[in-house]
Amino acid sequence: MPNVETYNICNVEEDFNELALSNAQGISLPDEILLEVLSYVRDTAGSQQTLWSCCLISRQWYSCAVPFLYEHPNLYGKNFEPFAATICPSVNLHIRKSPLAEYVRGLDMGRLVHQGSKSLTARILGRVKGGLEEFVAPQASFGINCFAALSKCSKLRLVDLSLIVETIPLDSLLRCLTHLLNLCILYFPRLSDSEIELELAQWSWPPNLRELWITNGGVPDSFLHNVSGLPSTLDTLAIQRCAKVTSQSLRRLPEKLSSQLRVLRISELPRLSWTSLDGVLARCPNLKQLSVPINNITQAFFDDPSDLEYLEITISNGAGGEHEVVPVDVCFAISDNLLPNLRGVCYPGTILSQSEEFRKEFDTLDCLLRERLGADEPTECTFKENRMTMNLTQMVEENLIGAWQWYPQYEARHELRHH
Amino acid sequence: MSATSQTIILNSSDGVDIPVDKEVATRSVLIRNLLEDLGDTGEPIPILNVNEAVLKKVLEWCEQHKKDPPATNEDDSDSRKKTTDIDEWDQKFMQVDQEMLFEIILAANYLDIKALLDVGCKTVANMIKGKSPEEIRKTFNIQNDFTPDEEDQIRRENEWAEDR
Repeated sequence: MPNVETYNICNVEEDFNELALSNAQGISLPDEILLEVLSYVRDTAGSQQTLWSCCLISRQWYSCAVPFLYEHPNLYGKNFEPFAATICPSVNLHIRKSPLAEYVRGLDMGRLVHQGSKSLTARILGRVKGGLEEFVAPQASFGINCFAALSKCSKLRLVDLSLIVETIPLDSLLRCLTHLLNLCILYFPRLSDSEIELELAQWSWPPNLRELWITNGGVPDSFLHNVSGLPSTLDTLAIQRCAKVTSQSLRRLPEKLSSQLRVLRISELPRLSWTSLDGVLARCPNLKQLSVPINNITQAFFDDPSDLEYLEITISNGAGGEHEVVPVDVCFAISDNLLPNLRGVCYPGTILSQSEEFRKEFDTLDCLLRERLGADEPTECTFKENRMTMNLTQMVEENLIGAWQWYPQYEARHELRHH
Repeated sequence: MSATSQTIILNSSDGVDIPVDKEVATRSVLIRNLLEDLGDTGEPIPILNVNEAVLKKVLEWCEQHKKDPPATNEDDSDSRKKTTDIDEWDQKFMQVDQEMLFEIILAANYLDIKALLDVGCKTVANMIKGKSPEEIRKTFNIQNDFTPDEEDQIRRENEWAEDR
């Protein structure tokens, strides 16, 4: 039985070049062009199937296409076992090593439910550690026995542990992550309740962390005011869908952390009250982008001057229609020069559709922002299509100006590889 | 050709002189550099790797795109999601047989016309999309040079990626 090692890429290329010279009948594309073609294929829908085909065409196509096929494997459950068998052909790393494992850049196990096991996840991480840049942990098959392997994936830029059902002890989590020098985006796992009061020295974070996402119930309430030692590179904090977080702990967020934040996203924190997020602009004086639920702010939210550039006001799916802040409140804040750098605002479309009054105010807000920044009227196309689905991420990415409607929507946790 | 535009002569690999506007020909970075290095002697410029039929076809594309802004030099090829959208004129232009398509791509590569090379690569990518290995081999006239054992092995190791 031939072994994967027989496909040493260099040999394949040499063989092929000889073949190409002797083969006068058809023209073939050189590797550099074939790679360019495949880089377009990679970004199309259904690329995995197409790349699979490309690997079976000829030796040249195989050697060009196989790195693309393994770069961001699309794992969806039933294909996990054969994938694992290819990456880890044997329990013993030294007996058979698959060269394919080194091509893996993004490993998204987020769609696996009962497939695999914790020890298999650890083994796979051990095989792909050389190239892995993005990792999404599976719900059930990740545990503390995976940390040793995870901490050796030194190229990791993004780690998402938010789907893990089991709770994770904070100290072993931090011990593992602190080795990841390239890690800049971290989705926190659910922590076990007990161990939040760490010794100061135990608060050691990945030194270049930029974004911390606490989602899916993540942390006990005490975490937020005890958190310590976050690197100064951290400028983005998201706290979403955490049942235990209270307004008190949000207010007691360490001052150093609050002052280094440029992006703050809060949503679906059921324990927050009407007024919980009033004053957030004063507490986080360097914010440029903010997402807040309309159910947690009042007009007092706009009392403090801020350099904010983008404001997204959301409404949670289950929340009733009650709200205090209306579009004209943003207009007043702009007229009073409290938000001199504001460029874009998202406001819940479901509220606008309740009253003609709100809609008029909203249009005034839109004009106000555009006029102040000298932006053109939106074209018919952006007006109709984008306004329906605008969100903070999109506004920032597209550098939009004006007021936009926000609707509850599925927002991808993150798009691997394009992050 | 108007009197104001400057004409140069290209000599194809099969020895045919092709007069062309300088503005059109210099869409090719290779030709632009040659003209800069050699100066404008009025002598035909030999294009060693491209025959008359292909060269004319490439120049047709250059004529159509002579007013395009020069390609930006950002090397963001890997960080940005690539689209395989092709504008309508280019799509029609690329409706040629497979051999001519590859010839155009190779010529664009040799003559260093990045935008044309991109269109060519996108066209090939679009032709591959969703096809089986056998269909792709047929479309591009590629010989299967695997041994049966090798092919089996590849099918086995990539089984997880099949059928979706």
